[in-house]
Amino acid sequence: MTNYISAKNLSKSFGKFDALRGVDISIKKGQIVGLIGSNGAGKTTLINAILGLSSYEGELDVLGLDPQSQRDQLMKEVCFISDVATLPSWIKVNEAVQYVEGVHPNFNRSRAISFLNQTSIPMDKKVGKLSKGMVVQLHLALIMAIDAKILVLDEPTLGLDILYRKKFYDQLLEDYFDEERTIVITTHQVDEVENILTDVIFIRDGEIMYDASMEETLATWKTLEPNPDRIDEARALGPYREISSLGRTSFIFKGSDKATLQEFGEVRRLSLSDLFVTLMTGE
Amino acid sequence: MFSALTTINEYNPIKALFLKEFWDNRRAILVTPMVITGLFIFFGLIAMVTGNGMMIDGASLNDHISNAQDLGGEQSYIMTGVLMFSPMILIISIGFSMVFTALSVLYDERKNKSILFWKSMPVSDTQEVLVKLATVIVVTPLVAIPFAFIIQIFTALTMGTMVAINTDFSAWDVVFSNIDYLAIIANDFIPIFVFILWTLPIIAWFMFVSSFSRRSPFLLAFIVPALIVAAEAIFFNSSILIRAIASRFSYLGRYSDRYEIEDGNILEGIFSLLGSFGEPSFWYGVVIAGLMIVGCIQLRKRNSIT
Repeated sequence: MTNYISAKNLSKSFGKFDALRGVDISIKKGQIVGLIGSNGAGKTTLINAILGLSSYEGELDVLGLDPQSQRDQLMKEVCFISDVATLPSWIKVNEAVQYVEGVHPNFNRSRAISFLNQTSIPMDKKVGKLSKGMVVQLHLALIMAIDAKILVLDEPTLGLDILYRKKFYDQLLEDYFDEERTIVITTHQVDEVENILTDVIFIRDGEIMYDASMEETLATWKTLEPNPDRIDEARALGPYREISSLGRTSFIFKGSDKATLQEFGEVRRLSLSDLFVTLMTGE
Repeated sequence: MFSALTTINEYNPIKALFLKEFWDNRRAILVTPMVITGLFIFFGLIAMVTGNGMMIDGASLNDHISNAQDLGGEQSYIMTGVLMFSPMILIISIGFSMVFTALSVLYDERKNKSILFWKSMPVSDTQEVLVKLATVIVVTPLVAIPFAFIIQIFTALTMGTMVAINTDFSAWDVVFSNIDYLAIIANDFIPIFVFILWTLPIIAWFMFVSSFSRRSPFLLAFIVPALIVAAEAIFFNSSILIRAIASRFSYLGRYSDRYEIEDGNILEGIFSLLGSFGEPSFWYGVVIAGLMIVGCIQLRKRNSIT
């Protein structure tokens, strides 16, 4: 598969603080990658480097371009929505549409208008007068009307209520994503993206802790809830981690065969958030 | 015509960037001159109705107008001069609009984080900064100048009306035939742009401050030079900076000799201002302004968020 983003030994420091320490990643065409980490783990720093918004050390190639010196070229093929509401409050909805049409060669106005018509956003209102949810919908409508190869979403649903969050990702999958595109999502709301990801990257203290496809992840990691009388036997199998809560014990296994585990109790898939906690608490 | 200028229906980055700046700075660029012109006309009309008995230099306005008939050749200079200076308040307001726009163009976008949206579009920082500069030094005055014409037309009509109503003279003889129309048009463009080009390093400084200031670029833009001037005076007993700033305005004094209304051709006087571009200090200013603009571009490339 074609490599869209590849980074080798990517580093970035702010004074004495190392935000990224020798990151190696490769993101390919057609992937939906979740970049997951706690606050301050380096997610946004990594994203900013990929988008050409900040300097870095090491090698970074995005669609064959150097983001730092060729940001304007790169933005023809890369779209992003960052974690903060970035549409200025003074711009009117129709002015925002006109502006993007004016500066972006791959923008399709009628597509944007048809997305907007599905919402209740008035075209002649200023962004400052719209609700937070509407601003995100407007931004998404503008971005989805751009024919780009990579879409980067940095905490896109931060501050949105639950209904919008669900709609946001549904629309993204239905109206935007296809195998020619790649989506990179950073979030610490792991649960809401879990079902749409094809690949997952965990980042902590500026280092990549885990980088695998969802398929591989589900095949490798399992949760076993053993029958009470077989807890000790299950423990003897050497689980990766043991969790006790509300008087129930469960084990997380790495690489064990499902059939073997099933003898001791109920085997479930390990949720991404549990995997995240397991790997990040680390022992 | 205006709607073709102010709407975008196709890929045209430079036009879109200019319109974006216009939308963002609508108040400084369009609303301010519009309001000032409206107020000028409003108070002008009130004065016309109530001001006939107004005493200036011991004579009423009507007496002045009547006397003007006897001034012969000077009359043209007086009429043209009055019209040239009638939009003075408006022209001063353009200066203020330019200063405030320059101080905010690279600051507000960082403060309201919209820079992240602008940077998600395929336009370079160089294009953005140059369009912002052109918005300050070209678009702002160009939008305001038609309002200066409106004020001048209103003033001429007012004078003509007062002559027609209050005296036995013909408004054409006293007012309209005595106006040097070409000089007025030239005067609305040339001195303004000569002034802007001379003060370019100051305008560029304001933009430079707005590209890095973390809060209140306005204060920083004035405090930094004030501190340097004070430090120079106290520690080095020198005054390089204050002289450099003053030199941006002193050409006005040197060239105003040839820019006198009373004698000589007004138009010639206006065009003689262009001669100031031959002075080396003008070009030093351009170079310094250029360096500061390069600084703005580099800083915008690097700092995306405050």
